[in-house]
Amino acid sequence: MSRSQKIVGVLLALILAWLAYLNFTVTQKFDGRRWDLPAQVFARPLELYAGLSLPPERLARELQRLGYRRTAQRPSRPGSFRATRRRIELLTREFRFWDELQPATALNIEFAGDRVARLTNSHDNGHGNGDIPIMRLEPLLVGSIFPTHGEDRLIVAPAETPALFEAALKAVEDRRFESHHGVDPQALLRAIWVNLRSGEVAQGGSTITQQLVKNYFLDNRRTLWRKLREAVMAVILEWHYDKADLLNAYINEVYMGQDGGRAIHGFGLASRYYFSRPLAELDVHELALLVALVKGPTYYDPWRHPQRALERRNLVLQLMADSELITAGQVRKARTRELDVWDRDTAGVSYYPAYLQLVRSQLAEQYRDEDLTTQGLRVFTALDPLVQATAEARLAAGLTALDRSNKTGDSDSSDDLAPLAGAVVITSVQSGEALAIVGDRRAGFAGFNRALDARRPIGSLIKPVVYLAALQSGRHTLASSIDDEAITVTLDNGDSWAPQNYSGETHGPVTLLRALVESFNLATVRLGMDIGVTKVAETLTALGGPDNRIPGIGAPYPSLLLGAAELTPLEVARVYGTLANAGFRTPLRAVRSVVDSHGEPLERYPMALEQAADPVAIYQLGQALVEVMRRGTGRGARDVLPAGLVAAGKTGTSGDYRDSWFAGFTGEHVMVVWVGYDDNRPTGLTGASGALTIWSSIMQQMNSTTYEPPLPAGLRNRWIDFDTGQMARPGCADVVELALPRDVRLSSKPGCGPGLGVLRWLDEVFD
Amino acid sequence: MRVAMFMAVVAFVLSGCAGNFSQTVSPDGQGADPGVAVSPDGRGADFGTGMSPAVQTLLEQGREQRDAGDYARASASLERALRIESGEPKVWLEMGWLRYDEGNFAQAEQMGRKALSLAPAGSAVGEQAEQLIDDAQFGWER
Repeated sequence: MSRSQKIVGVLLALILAWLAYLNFTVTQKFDGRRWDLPAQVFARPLELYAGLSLPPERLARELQRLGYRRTAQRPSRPGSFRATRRRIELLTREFRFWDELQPATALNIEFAGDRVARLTNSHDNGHGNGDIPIMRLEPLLVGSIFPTHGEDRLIVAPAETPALFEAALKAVEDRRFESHHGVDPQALLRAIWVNLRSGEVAQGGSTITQQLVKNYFLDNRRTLWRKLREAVMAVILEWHYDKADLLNAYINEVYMGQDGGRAIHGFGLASRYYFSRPLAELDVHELALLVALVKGPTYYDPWRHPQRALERRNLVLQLMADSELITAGQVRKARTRELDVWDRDTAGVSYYPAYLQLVRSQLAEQYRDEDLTTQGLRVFTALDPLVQATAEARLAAGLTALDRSNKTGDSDSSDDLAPLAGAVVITSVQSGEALAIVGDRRAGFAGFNRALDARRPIGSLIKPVVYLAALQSGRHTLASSIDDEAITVTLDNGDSWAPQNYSGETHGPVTLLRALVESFNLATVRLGMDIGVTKVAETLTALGGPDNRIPGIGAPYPSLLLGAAELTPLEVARVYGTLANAGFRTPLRAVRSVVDSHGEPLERYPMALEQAADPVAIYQLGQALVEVMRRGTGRGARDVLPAGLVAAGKTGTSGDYRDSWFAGFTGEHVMVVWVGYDDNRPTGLTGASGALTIWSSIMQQMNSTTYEPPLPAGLRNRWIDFDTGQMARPGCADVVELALPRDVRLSSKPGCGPGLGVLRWLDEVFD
Repeated sequence: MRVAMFMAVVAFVLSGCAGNFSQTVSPDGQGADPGVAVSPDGRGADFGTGMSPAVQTLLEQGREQRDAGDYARASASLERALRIESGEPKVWLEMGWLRYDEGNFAQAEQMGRKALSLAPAGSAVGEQAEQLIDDAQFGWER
C-alpha cells in the first residue's frame, strides 16, 4: 500500500467514525425526544346557570378573553359566539376538565337584566327540555411553569394541525420538503446565487429538516463547518424517520417569539400567544402570520413592527396562492384583514406572576420543580381573572392617587424616591380559595411579591384577635366596660412600656364595642393584659396566623397587643378568613386539582374545615367589625360601597405611619390591602386614608354579597348604649342593636329605660 | 290577639331602629323544613325545594358519584355547589356524609358543624347535622 493510500484509508476511517458518531447523536436525540412540557395553569372555569348574576357584557368580555370570535351569524364552529342585547349564543370548545371531558356544546343564554335567566342547548330544537341546569365554560390558560432556560411550549399533535397550515409552512420554508433527502441542493444553489448577487446573506437555503437540526443541536453561529455538519445530520435524520414525524417535530420545536423571560416555542403555543386560540381555529390570514414569523419572530414582531409583519404576511399569502393552496379570491380577501393579534392590554390578560407564585408554593409540597417544568401537568386553580383584573387596576390607580396627594401635602418628599408600593389578597370566605393576588403596582411584573413576601407590622389589625380572645374568655361581652386610661406595662427585662392612643386622648370607661370600633389603644392593651398576652398569641395562631412571627419566644411581648407581629398580606387574609367564616378555619388554597398530561387526576386539594373559634364570640366580634364600617375607622368606605352591602373590617396603621392596612370581608369575599414603602419610610397614611380607599374601590366592583352570618344559639338581640353598654330604648341616646349572650344581665341607662319593661315582659311571654 | 300585639310592638321597635346589625334569616326561612323526605338510612334526603336547579343538579350528581364510590368526583361536584350557594346547610351536610363514607371522620364532623351553624333552629337539616356529628365522633373514636 502506498503512503497516499494509507492516508486515504485513515481519512475514510475518520469520516466513517464521524458519521457513526453523528448517527448516534441524531438518533439518540430524536428517539429519546421528549420536550420539557411546562405545567399549564388554568384559571377557574366560569360556571353558567340560571340565576347567576352576570351582565351580558361581562360574559362577552370573558369569551373574548378566551379568544372566542364574535360572529354575526349563529355560531357554527367551536370558540365563537353571537351576542345580542338579551341573548348570547355560543359554541364552546371541547375541554378536558380534571373530572370530565366536556364536549363542544351549543349554548343559548338568555338574560334578564344583569342575570342569566335561562340556559338551553340550542341544538335541541323545540322538542323536549333543552334546559341546561349548569355548565362550565373552559377556563382561561393563565400561565405555565417553565424551566429556568425559559422554553415554554404547548405540544400539538398532527391531528390538531390544520392541513392548510402544514402546506403553507412547506410552501414558504421548504418547497421540496416531500421529495428531498434532508438537503435541497437546488434551493441551496439558488440561495448562494442570490446572496452572491446581493452581497449579503439575504436568503437561506435550509430545508425544514436542516432547521430542525439547527434548533436541536447547534447554535446560531454560521460557519461552513457547522453548515456541513447540519446538512449531514439532516440527511441522517431523513434516513431514519419519515416526513410526517419530522414535520411534527419541527412544528413543536421552532422558536416563535420572546415574552420577557419566556421563549415561545412551537406553533401550538404561538397560536395561543398571538391569537389566544388553538391552532385549529385560525383563519387563513392568521395562519399566514404564524408562517411569516418563522423567519424572524423579533424582527417581524406584530405588536412592535406591525407594518413589517403585515408585509411579510401578505408575501406568505401570495406564496400560498402561487402554490395553489388558496385561490386568488381568498388571497385578496385575506390581504384586507388586519393582523388580528389580540390586544392583550384591553383584554386585560396578562400573566399573573404573583398568583403563580402561590400556585408554585402550594404545589411545592407535592412536586419537585422538575416535575412542574417538564411533565406537562395541568393545574386547575381558583384564580378569578375578572377579580384579578379589577384588583390590579384599582391598586395601581389608588397608589397613583395616594402618591399625588402625598407629594402635594408633604414638601419633604422628594421626587427621586420610589413611589408607594402595595399588595392585595382576595379570597373566598367559605372555600378559602385565593381569587386574586396582586404583589406589585405593575401587574405583570414578576419581581418582589409583597402579597406573599412582605412581612410588615400589622398594627391595629391585631385588635379583633385581642377582642375575640376576650369574648371567648367568657368574662367579657361587647357591652362590658373597659378603661381607656393610661397604662404602663413593666416588661420582663425591666423596661416599661407606655402606649398611647392615636389621638393622644383618653376616654375613660368605654364599651368593648366602642374601644374596637374607634380603635383605642389603651383600652385594648388593658383588655389584652387582663386576659393575658399568651392567650392572644394562641388565638392568633388558632385563627391561622403564623406562630413563628409573634414577638418574644415562649412569652410573647405585650407589644403584640398593638400589632408588633409582622405578617404578610396573605397571612392576614388567613386570619381574617377565619373571622369571616364564622370561626371555621380553611386552608388558603390556590390549586384545586392537578392532572397529568393524559388528563388523569393526580392530586386533589379538597376543601377542609376546622372550627377554630367559639361561634358566640365570633358572632359578637363580627357585629363590632360591621360597626367599624358604619361609624368607626372604616366609615370612609360607606360612600363607595354599593348601598346595602354590609361589610366588616378593620384598619391597621403601624408606628410612624410606615404601614397602611385594611382587612375586611363581606359574605363572600375576604380582602386584605397593604400600602407602604419598600424602604420602610413613613407614608403619612393611616389604614383609613391609605389602604381602605383602595379596598373599598375594589370591593365596589366585586358584585359581592352582604355579610349576614346566622345567629348562633345562645345569643339574643338587645338595644345598647354605645358608650356605656347599658340597655337603652331605640331612639334614646346613641344606641345600637347587638346580639349578646342570653344570660348577660345589663343595667338600664337612666332616662332611657321606659319601654324596656314591656319588652322584657314580651320576652318572657313569647320566649 | 297576643301575636297581633307582639307584631305591633315589633313593628314599633323596628321603626325606631336606625342601622341595626343585619339580622340573619337563613335561606330557608325559619322553622322545620317540611319538604324533606328522608330515605331509610337517614341519608339522601330529597332536597326538593329552596335550592337553585344548578345546585340541585350538582347535589344529585355528587350523590350518584358517592354511591358509585367515586369520592374524588363527588367531592368536586359538591365543591362546585358550595361555590354557588355557600350558605346552604344541605350542601355542607352532603359534604359531611361524603367525608364520612371516605372514612374521614374528623372532616365529617367539621362539615356537620358547618351545616349546623347554617341550619335554622329546629330544622330537619339541623337535626341531620347533629346526627352526623354524633356518628362522626363515634366513628372517630372507634
